[in-house]
Amino acid sequence: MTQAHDQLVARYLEAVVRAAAELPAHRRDDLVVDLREHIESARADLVEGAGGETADAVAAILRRLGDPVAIVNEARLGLTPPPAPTPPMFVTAPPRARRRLPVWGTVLISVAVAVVILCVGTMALGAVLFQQPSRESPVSGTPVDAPSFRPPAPTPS
Amino acid sequence: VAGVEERPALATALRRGTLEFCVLAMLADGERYGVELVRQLGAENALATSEGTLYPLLSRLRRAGFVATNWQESTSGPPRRYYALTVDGRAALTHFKTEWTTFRTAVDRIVGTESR
Repeated sequence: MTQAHDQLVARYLEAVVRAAAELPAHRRDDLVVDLREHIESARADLVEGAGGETADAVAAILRRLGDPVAIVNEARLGLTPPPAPTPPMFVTAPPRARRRLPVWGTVLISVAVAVVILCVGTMALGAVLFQQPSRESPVSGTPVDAPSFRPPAPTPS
Repeated sequence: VAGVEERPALATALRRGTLEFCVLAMLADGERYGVELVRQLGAENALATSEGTLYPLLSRLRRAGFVATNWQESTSGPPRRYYALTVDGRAALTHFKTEWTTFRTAVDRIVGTESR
């Protein structure tokens, strides 16, 4: 009887080895060792148990282990990458539609900033040019000297 | 239309990235006998995983240094392999708990599955 059970197990493990043909050898060996250990321990528990080891019970152990192909597929996977994986070097450009809004926003902000600069600049220039007489002697020399930089009024010829 | 075939794929996608932390969590209170560990997880129908698929997972956790194994004599049959959480494994579990809570809360809020 036990020989028949051994054969059942051997066929299962052979199916695992066949399914794992493309795995690196050490991975395949690890997997087969793990599964064999599991089966041996589970069978030992059966022998200990009241019902003893029956063909059905051995088949149930293998059935719970599951489809060898599914197990091997799992073995192909890597672990979930640890936190903060390095970003890829080349990222495909995001779709145009998603970029358009930020671009318009940038343009609007640029225009607004330009307008503000123009206004402030004009006001500052106006202040320098037209409030000069009311100021006696500012600390900074530039406003005082400002009138001398004025171009001479064109003389009518 | 995209019903029956999609469901196993969805379960697989949800399981990926979470099951390994379920394993780590099961070891948080102390080392466990591998067969027992695998049996308990395999019996969780919602996780939709066979006992056998957990061995590649345990193997990855071992290579990542998140779990360590040791052999202990058994009164019946061959020596048994026990799995224990390492310091790195415990840190990974702690990190996952934070991430998971944030993730779950956001999904619940968006999908409308908050518990009331």
